[in-house]
Amino acid sequence: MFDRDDYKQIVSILGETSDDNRVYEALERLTFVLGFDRFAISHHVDLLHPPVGAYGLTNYDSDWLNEIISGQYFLDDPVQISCDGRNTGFLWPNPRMLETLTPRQRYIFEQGAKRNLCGGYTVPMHLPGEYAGSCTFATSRLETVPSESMPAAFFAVSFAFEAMRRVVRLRAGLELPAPPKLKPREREVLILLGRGKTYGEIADILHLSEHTTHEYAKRIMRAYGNIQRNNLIARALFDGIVTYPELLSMH
Amino acid sequence: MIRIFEGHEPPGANPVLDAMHHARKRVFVDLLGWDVPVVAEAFEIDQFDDDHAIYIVASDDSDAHEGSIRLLPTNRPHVLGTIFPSLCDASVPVNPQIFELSRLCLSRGLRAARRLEVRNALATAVVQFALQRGIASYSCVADSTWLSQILSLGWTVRPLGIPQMIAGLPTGALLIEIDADTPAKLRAAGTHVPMRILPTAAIDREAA
Repeated sequence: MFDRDDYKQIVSILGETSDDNRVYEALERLTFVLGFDRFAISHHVDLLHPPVGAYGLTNYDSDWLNEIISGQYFLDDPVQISCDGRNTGFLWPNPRMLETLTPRQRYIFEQGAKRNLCGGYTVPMHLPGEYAGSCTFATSRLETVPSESMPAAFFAVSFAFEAMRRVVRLRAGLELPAPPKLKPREREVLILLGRGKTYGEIADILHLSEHTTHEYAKRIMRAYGNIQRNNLIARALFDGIVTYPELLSMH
Repeated sequence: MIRIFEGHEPPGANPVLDAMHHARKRVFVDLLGWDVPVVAEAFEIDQFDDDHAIYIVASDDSDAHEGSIRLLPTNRPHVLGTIFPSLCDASVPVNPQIFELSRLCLSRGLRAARRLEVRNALATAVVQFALQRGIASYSCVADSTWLSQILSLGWTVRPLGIPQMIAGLPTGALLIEIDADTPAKLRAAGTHVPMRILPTAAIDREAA
């Protein structure tokens, strides 16, 4: 069992700080309190060219970090891939993951194990309006980590992600721009665009003229800063203005 | 529109509260499969829905339920104190200035963007209500499905104990601190919804 007071104090720090040095210190302390050696918290983005608003913190060795980035391990990392579509934390390596490893993924695992990153616990993070991300705690001896650590780690990670958001907001100096407000009709057109319909088809479905449909579409793209059609759909999904079920529905 | 109701009313007495209990049944029983009582096969109503419960309810223009949350005084039976006291390391916070938040319910069928708007409006109302009433903090039981949403509202949250696995989900007890700076924290997080909460009849009665 780990030190409960230490844990609560660390989470309280993560709950109010907007200073990324303090976030780093708290996460490093947390890692040891929970029984792990290393942590890495980051958005799942192109680490070679991270977009604005993405963030990451880790106490991995700089050599290992360089190898991850220069070898582009993040593109194939089986732990990161396991985060897709799940909201619960998971231990790794696990049988399901090991069964499906590609040779390259096996290589990445082996390279990590050489650095004493033999196993760990990873918490995925998916929020509307934000890049997917995760926080990993790794260790050379997973069997020594108490099972009470997993739910405790999950909670602390959520606090850490929120602290990182405050850091980013503070850096941006202002609130991140809000997604544009669309009228119900504009949203209908957007959903049909997302389903790959032509303007003519959308006009038929909504009983509009093709010209009016085109005008709606232009208005939506203007609201998004004259975005291209393909980017528009991605962006609207990202902002939560439309959802995958709406786009994938066949009717 | 956000309205505040003080005290539970049985089914049939208040259409807004009926719609809330019905939405709660659809979310907590039908969707999440919680083992909580259902009245008349339509309304989720438990032992804490009593005269001391306070409800903050968001409805759309046609008065349909969009979202709601329940406030319980902690110096009376409440969820954390009665069902999950083991989530608190020390004793369960019990104080006339501490209320518990429970049954945050967003109607099924609301689209993603609207869910966020309703969630933010309810949270703003919860903060405004606390400031009007002199409530210093809210306790709550949070599982992993809600935790990041609670935190992303921007207010200050502290853990009351070590989270545990309950019904397969990491679950913990939290204390949300409310003070004069809280609205500014919500604004900084982009979750503050400008609103004016009109005092309910019950508030008037108490003030008199």
